[in-house]
Amino acid sequence: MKARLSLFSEDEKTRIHDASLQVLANIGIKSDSTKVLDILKDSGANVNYDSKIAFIPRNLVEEALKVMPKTVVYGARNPKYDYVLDKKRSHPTPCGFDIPYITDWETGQRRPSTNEDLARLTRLADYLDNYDEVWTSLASGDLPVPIQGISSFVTALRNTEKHITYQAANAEEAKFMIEVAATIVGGRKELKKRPLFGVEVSVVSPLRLDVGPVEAALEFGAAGIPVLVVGMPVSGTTAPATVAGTMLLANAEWLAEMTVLQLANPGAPVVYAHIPCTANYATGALIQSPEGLLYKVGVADMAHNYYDVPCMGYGGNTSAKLLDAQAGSEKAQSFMAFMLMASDVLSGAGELDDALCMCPEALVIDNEMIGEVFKFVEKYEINDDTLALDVIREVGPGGHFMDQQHTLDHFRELWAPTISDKGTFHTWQEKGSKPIDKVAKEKVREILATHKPPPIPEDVDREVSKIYEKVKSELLKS
Amino acid sequence: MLDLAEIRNAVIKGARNDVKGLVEKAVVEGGDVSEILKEGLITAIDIVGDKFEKGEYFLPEMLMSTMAMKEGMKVLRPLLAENDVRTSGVVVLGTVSGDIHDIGKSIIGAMLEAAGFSVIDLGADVDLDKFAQAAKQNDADLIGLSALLTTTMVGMKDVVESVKGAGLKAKVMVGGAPVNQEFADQIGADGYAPDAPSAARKARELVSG
Repeated sequence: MKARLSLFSEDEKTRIHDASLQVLANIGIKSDSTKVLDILKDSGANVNYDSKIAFIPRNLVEEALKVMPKTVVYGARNPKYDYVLDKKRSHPTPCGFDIPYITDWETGQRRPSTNEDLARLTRLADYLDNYDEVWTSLASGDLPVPIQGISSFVTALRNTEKHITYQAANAEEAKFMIEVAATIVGGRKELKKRPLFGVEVSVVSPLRLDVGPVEAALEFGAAGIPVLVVGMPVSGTTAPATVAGTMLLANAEWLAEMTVLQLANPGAPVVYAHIPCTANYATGALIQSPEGLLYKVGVADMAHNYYDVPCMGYGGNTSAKLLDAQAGSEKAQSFMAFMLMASDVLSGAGELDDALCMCPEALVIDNEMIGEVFKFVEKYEINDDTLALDVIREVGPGGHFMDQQHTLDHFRELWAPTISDKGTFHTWQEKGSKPIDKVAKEKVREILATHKPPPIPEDVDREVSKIYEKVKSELLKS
Repeated sequence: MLDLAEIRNAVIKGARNDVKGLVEKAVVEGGDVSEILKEGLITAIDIVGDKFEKGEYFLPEMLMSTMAMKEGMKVLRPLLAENDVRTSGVVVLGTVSGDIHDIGKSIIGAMLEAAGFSVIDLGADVDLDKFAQAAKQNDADLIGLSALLTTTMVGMKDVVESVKGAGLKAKVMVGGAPVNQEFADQIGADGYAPDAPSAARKARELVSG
């Protein structure tokens, strides 16, 4: 017994796949990375080095799909937080990356974020039970620009024992991240087995693999770090204005980058993480919308039910600027949709304003919402014990079940609120008539005052600092 | 020194089948009956009450523990001197006439029992004159009235009047989804409680005050 959602018919999936292969073979993908063009050329693709366009034949894509891993391991600083993306369950995480604003911890006013904000938000997510990993959410905006990325990465690792995910601007940053993580986990071989972190690598729509991200992705692929291939085709601006056309473009882009990564490092862990969306057509800015929800359901349907690979859903996304009814509605819709699909990586929690602002209270409220949806999408067994025919007989017509051992054994399996108010009006009033964001704010304070994730062991952390200081001074010089 | 930890644990766990045997064993082994009651059963149910207040325990656990305690009481009651039996008071409970909603009132009954009250549950759809009658017969300290419907809660006023008119000592407490403090004041009820845990607190307050 399990709630389900699906989108495409079998024919429709095949049609999108076939059309994607036509796009790659006949229209091609563009890359300003000679390395990428060479990899494709050497594998038999037709490459035009003047226009920097590679035409990827069908057989290369199909071969790549065969060698691509069907599940992806996520390691963590503390092995108890290790897990596998196996297409069966969503793994929620705070939104990322380098989000420029935060609603202030005390005043609630929006302001630029700092490295300390990132540390605190990471600790908060480390505590909250429904976040399986912690994306490096906020920008270290108070630090010099060249070292913001490496600083955020180290800060994230130091403040959570869970798996983290970040992005890399180029191959150099990628090498730094790999070295730091290998130091913590005990070498590169161990890192490949239990990658402490994953990365998001962007495809530029339509159909471009830019040198920085794609060459970073190749570094990660070689090191066995999971790569979330993310493109954000926007209907009507960087993608066709139709739902089907946008889905097609997203699928073709994912296949292109996945193929490059498999050709370079067969078996490299990859996640289908495209997040197509629509725009505000008055301004061109991308927004949270019903079609956007549908696109990510489509990605999950193609990923799980056609390619048999893990995927991402962007749950918790909202265009709302405040933690208001719009935020609640948009977040709930996306959590519900993507968790019904079991979208493996479930990013987006805690954000406002289409990921331009993180809100600590939202992170707490989203944690509660995710818990509710997990109960909705859970698989419920039907057997003699759960059908409880004997218990119904025992109680009989007109009685009640509250004093039955069966009730005692099972009632805690049912959902119970943590911060949502489920009391009477009277008791709610007695507790101060608080709206949920106020309750969440108190929870944030309580968690930050009491929760200290165990640090990286001192000797290891000294090594991490050495690597960090060295790269930092190089970056500040250049 | 009698080890009553086992009895306490059984009550706390709500293991009603174990409690009876353990209490019997303690009695046979020559334990002081009053000590078994106070240090065993009552201490345990107080711990259960604490756990409930702290949100560690929920209604089913509370109820199971109450039932377990009652099993122990069945063994002890015949052996106890009159003044040893702790009772917080006698409560007559029921859902008022025209209203068949039963469960809320039953939950309150269980909470009151756990709080040491002796509870006479008249059931649901209870004729309004039955409340005063039962209170008189049982020398009740408190009458608890429940209603889920706005159409039936008006009957509560009649009950309050009949109790006051008959000069009974019993105080009247009202509750249920449509009821609030304002309504309770309007009909001259002595108390109002918004939910089961606060009903038990309110009942203690009304009876002792």
